[in-house]
Amino acid sequence: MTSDGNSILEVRGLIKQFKTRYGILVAVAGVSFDIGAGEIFGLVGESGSGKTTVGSAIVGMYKGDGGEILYKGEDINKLASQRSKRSKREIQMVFQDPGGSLNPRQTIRQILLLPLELHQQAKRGRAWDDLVSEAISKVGLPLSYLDKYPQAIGGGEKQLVCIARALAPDPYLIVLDEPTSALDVSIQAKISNKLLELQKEYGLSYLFITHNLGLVRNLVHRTGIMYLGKLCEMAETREFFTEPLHPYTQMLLSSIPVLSDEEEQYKPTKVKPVGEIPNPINRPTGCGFHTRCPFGTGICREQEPGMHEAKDGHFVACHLHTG
Amino acid sequence: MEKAGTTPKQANPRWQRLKRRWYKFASNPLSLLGLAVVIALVVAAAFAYQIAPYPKHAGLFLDFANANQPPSLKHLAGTDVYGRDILSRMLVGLRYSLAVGLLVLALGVPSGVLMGLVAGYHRNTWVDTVVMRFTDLFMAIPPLILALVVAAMFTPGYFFVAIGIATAWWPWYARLTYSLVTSLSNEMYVKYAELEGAKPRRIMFKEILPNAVSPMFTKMSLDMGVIIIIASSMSFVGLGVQPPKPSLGSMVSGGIQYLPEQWWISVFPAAMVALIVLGFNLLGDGLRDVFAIEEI
Amino acid sequence: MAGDKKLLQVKDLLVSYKVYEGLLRVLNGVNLCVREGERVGLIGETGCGKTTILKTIVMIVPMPPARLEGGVVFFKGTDIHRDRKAGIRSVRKGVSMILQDPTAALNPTLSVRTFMADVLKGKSQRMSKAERNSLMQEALEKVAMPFPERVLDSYPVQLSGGMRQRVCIALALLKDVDLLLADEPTTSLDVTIEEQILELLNDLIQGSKKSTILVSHALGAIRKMTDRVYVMYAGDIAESGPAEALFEQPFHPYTRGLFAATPRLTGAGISDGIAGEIPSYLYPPRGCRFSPRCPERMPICDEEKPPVFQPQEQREVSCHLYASLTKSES
Repeated sequence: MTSDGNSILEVRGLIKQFKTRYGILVAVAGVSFDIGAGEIFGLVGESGSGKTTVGSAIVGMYKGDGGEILYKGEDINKLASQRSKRSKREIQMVFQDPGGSLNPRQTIRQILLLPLELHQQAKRGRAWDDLVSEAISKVGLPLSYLDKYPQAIGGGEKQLVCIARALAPDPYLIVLDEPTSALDVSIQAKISNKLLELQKEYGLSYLFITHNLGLVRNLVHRTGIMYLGKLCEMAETREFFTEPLHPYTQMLLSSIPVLSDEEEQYKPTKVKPVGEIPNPINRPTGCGFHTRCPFGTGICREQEPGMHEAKDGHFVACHLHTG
Repeated sequence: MEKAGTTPKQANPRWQRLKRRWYKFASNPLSLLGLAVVIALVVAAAFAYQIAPYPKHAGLFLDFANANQPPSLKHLAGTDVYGRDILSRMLVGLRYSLAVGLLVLALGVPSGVLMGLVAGYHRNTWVDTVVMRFTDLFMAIPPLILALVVAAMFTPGYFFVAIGIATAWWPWYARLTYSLVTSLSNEMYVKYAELEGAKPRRIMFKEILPNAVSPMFTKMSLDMGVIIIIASSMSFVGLGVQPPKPSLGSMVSGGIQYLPEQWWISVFPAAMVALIVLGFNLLGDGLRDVFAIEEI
Repeated sequence: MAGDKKLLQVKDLLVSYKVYEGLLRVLNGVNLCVREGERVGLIGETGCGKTTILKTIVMIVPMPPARLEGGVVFFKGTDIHRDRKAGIRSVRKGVSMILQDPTAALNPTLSVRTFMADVLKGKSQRMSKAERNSLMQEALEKVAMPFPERVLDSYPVQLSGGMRQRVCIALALLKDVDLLLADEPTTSLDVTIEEQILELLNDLIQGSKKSTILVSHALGAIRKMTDRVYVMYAGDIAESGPAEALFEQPFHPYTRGLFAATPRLTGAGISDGIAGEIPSYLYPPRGCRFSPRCPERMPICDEEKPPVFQPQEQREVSCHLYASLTKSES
């Protein structure tokens, strides 16, 4: 399902549910997509859409309850501890909260050494020092930072350290879960640009999970949007923004607060949600969005729409667009 | 003076942290008092035999002519029924008290922390259940009784008093560590290490433990006072240091029958115990404030 | 629209914090005002001092280690810090604040019903249980809370972050105040709910004499929701003006840098942000606090703090670039 046939990550019908006090919560209800080599794939959605759970499953924090995840053909739908060394090394992650991701009792050097030690990149000693220095320079931070503790540096720089840590073991795919959401706008810009730069230079693939549509518009090659555990729409970013097909996408895009009248033109016509926000434990029948969709018809309540290729490379899961 | 608009160069970051902690600690006069008292006591105990005016009185010594003397310039704390200088005996007794305290902590803390660490990291597995129920077992018995029973199994002596108390003490450290570790296990940096394939042992000792250590210092300091009282209680009933060696507890018990006329025989040693407890408590409170989360 | 009477006036406010290393000069002479019925926005990034200003206005800033080094805060014409007791009384009655972190703001041992009942009891003693109940339900419905009945009996831990924030907003609205302060109220909410809440807050303020100060780093939200905007940087007000005008044409280099760094829907890419970092409050720059990072830096910027200029009607900028224009007398 990628634009080129060169995928390094294939997700097929991924399902993940959680037992809660009130019932079974299906966080991910059957998600399929591919990420190509050197591609930035953006996974967008509001809280509760399941996007973070997808990222966590890919990274190995959870084991999917159904479906497949294939990395370079290898089945990685298991916990990280059960995976091959190669996949553990080549798939890295950057989390949302830079402060919580770094051990306050370790120096930056020790933090960067951890992945190297665990993946045994090279012989101990000189080579590791070089790799650590290289990693921190790659993200644009000075070598003097290596001896500092995380508390001594700012939020944006902490996140750069996390990125350096993800780069150190020489990965192919980096899963970024809201990497800039906790940062100020001016720092977000710096980090985002740095991520883009690194991606271009090292040909990395990113799974970029976020709810910030502005970022997606400017950073991501292909975008997929999730609602209540399923993918609603998936397309190349420009297409996604200029011709959104799924009512949910239209609703989301039309309600973003923007900074200028010029940008207002770039939003689709206003789609206001109607009806009730569904309870994720008691999933609505048929299409997950039908309870709020202003265009819903009878079939939407009864049958779940599958992903159809409405246009070249543009996929939608909606009865209005099944051709 | 620093040039306006620039940040001062960071000296060694560890040193900076220490200096900031000291500033916070020193801003509370009570904490400083506690620290001063503790330092004074430790020094007094270390040099007890040198400072004591009558070091020989801390052993076998009889001088009935001078017995039961009230406090005077010659004997600042008076003499007891055998004519021994109470002050000197208090100083030597102090050594044993502090030694017992340190020994209990040295035995109880590492074992308790280790248990709590392992149980906390393996939360909700059989390891957790086994270790914590084992811990509960020990906690179910009142500490003083447990200590007495264990100490009584051996020949009397302060070393075994320490073992007895340590047996009763380690569960509390296990509990404390357990709760700290269970919450620390959810930190992102721990999850990261797990995802990268770090072995549990590495995670427990390198990632989690260093972050759990701070509250321990506070607890240890506050515990010193209680431990010493328990040790004194045990000497009170005859366990622990045997006569003629002095211990604060046995000095208090020995002098009770002479109250209230020869009050100094019990009161001074008791006051010393109180001073020890006060010093460590104030110090402990001060440490707790220092390690509390700072907010601007 | 807004009346002319000034409900809140902050003049030359200087607030510092005493810490181990010295004195943090957080607020460097802040001037702002809010008129009756006006919606004011305060834009600034982390560490610029916006929370300190709000806390000083509501008088919850802890006085050691913080110190009011200069300036005044007038609420309804009275200096609230001169007679602190009276000031606190006046502020508690007339101002309500929605905090950034809803989890910290709600007592975990009380149910939502208890919170709301407390507020309602404070308003008026003579209300029957049924009346209170219906008011509470209404308040929760207004903030688009699903299952209001269930929520009323819940404890904060049982609610999601977004729901907690909605409870906080509902609580703030229950209390009939003149001035509503909101510190990043929608940061933890989803885009579509954010819009609903923004509309709701909007509806409430328009037509009543309520004023608001909305603090946020969500620039789009501020543009939508406020009449007049202040931009803060490192304890100074960089510029101010009517929202629409300020967003169309920012004057201060910081504001420009900030807007340029915001990713746009046009897909034009993201600028490189603003070089450098916020200055140390311990040793702040002598002149303009933004000068070390300013692309338009001039020698005078390092020497003198820029006074306020008025490049246009109702627009004020604190920047030497506009020195040729009239100096405002505020």
